[in-house]
Amino acid sequence: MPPPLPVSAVRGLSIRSFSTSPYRSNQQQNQQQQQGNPGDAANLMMTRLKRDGYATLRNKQAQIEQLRNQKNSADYLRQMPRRWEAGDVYSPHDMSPVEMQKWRKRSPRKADVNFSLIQEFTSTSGQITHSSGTSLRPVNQRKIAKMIRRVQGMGLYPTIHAHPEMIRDNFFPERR
Amino acid sequence: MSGRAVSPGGALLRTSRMFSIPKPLPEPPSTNLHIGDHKSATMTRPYPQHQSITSPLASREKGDWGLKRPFPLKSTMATSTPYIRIKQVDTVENVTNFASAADHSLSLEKFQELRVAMSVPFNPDKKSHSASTRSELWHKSVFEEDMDFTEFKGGRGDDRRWKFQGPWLARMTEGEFVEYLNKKVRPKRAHFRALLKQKLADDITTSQNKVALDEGREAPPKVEVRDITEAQFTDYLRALRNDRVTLYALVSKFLDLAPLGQPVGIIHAFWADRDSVAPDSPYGKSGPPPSHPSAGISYLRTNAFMENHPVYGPQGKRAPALARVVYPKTGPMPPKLGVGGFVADAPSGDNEFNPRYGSRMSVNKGVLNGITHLDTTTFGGAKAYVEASTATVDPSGKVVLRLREADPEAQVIARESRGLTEIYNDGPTKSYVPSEQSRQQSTRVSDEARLNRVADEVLGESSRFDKP
Repeated sequence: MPPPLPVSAVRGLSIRSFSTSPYRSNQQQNQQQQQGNPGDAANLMMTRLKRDGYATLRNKQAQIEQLRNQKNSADYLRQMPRRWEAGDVYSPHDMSPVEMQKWRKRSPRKADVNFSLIQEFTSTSGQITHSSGTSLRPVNQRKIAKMIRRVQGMGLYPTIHAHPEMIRDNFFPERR
Repeated sequence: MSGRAVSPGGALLRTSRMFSIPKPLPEPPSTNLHIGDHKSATMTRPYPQHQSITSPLASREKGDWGLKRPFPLKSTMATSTPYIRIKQVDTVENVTNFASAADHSLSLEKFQELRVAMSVPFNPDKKSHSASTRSELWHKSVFEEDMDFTEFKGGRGDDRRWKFQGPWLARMTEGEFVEYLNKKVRPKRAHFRALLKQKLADDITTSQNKVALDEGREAPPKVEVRDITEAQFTDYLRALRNDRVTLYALVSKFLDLAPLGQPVGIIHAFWADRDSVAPDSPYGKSGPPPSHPSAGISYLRTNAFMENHPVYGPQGKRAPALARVVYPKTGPMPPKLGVGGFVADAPSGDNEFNPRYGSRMSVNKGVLNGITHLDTTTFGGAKAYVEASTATVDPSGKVVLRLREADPEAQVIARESRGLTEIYNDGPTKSYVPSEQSRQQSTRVSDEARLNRVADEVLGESSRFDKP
């Protein structure tokens, strides 16, 4: 059971609320009479709301459009790696994809080769060891095989025997 | 010219192409360190290295280009631009190494169509005195007599030459500099000491003469170089060591060094009053150009002339050129425009080439397509009209165009000349002469008269000409 409220407090609240509300409503009525029809303010608010909505929509669309353009532009510019400078001279040929390809940043193919690692995974006649022999997992076997093929293709490692530095001791044992 | 008889065969050889092709110019230096290592070997160089030669059609049909052997018709006749450059007249493979030279030949043609006058480099950060800033409101031609000379005159405007015997120290690498010191500077020590001794003798003579003149005595005998003692000379050298300005002036005059930028600070004030009439070299900041500052690409002295339109008469603005947006704006780098095959920075300032964020102007004016991002919708890429105001040759030999925003009227006229718009009115032009009656009514300012005039304007000339 709720405790009984003090009578005076309840009365005071009710009196205040009843006393203020009619005054406020009178004021609003007066304002509406001054402005015109009662629906005007609501109309105004609606149009303003709509206008703001359109504006934000348009802004958002513009932003999306700009982002799309930026991405499109970046994709194309990646294919045009030449950074033009004031004073450069160009002819139609310089705009061609063939020419632009030459300005790409090339991935550095370094020639530092670990010969003992290569020898580890090749036979004495320069063949790549089968994965059953290396017991590497397929991914690493592929990487190693690619490394050997590349090094042999570049002519840095012999294809028919092990590296001469590795088999030097077989021919010059007295050096040791 | 003594007419020394040359044998007919010799005369033929002397006038032949084979002997008159000049030596190729050196490869242009790569200024961009960032992309120095990966650049194309087939790109169009900033300046031509080989002479471009052509041949009349009748000779071309026979493959005759005035060289040792006939040229292949398949490549030399199938082009609309019959220009070739000879890389080697004769090779070990018994062929003539040649390539098309249409790129530079056509660029030159287009550049001359732009009618750009070459000017000396413009120093924007020079605010030494007001006289020079006033003269830099307009560009100074490279063909002005006070700057276009190479000989050493020993006068005051001597450091405004564009060619010097010595190098420009600021552009040398450390290795080059050390080599220059060892090979060129060190052997000249004795010569420079002798010069200094002579200067000391002259200085002593003048000071003695001045003292004698003040005291009213006879001038003492002239001091000779042999009279100067070693101690005297050592003292002079020590004094000179501390007097940097004089020493630098003497050294750069002796070695004929290209002028460096004016030193700043205390020395700056000294230099300013020492040589205030003759401003310093325009090439002090960036270094002297490798060729004549016009690079031979344009011989116009000024762009202060008016173009005449056959219908509209003299034009206030020059005919603009259509520029291609070569590369959009990337970060702080301005967008690059291509005018007649020359890449140039887009004109700065508040125009359609510079997007301005957070301002109302950008909304009103709009930015050209292809400036903020690459324009992939327009066929052939984004283009815009610009006006080439002047061009300079930079220290690496590039021709740097300076562009200006094109006048909207000039743009419309240029577009009309290409048949893209129609602004010329061929019919009778309208001229409204108010009649006496309507003028009297208008003085009374009656509503009816106003309404009549509005009706006149709305209905056009037919009702207007009916009235009187």
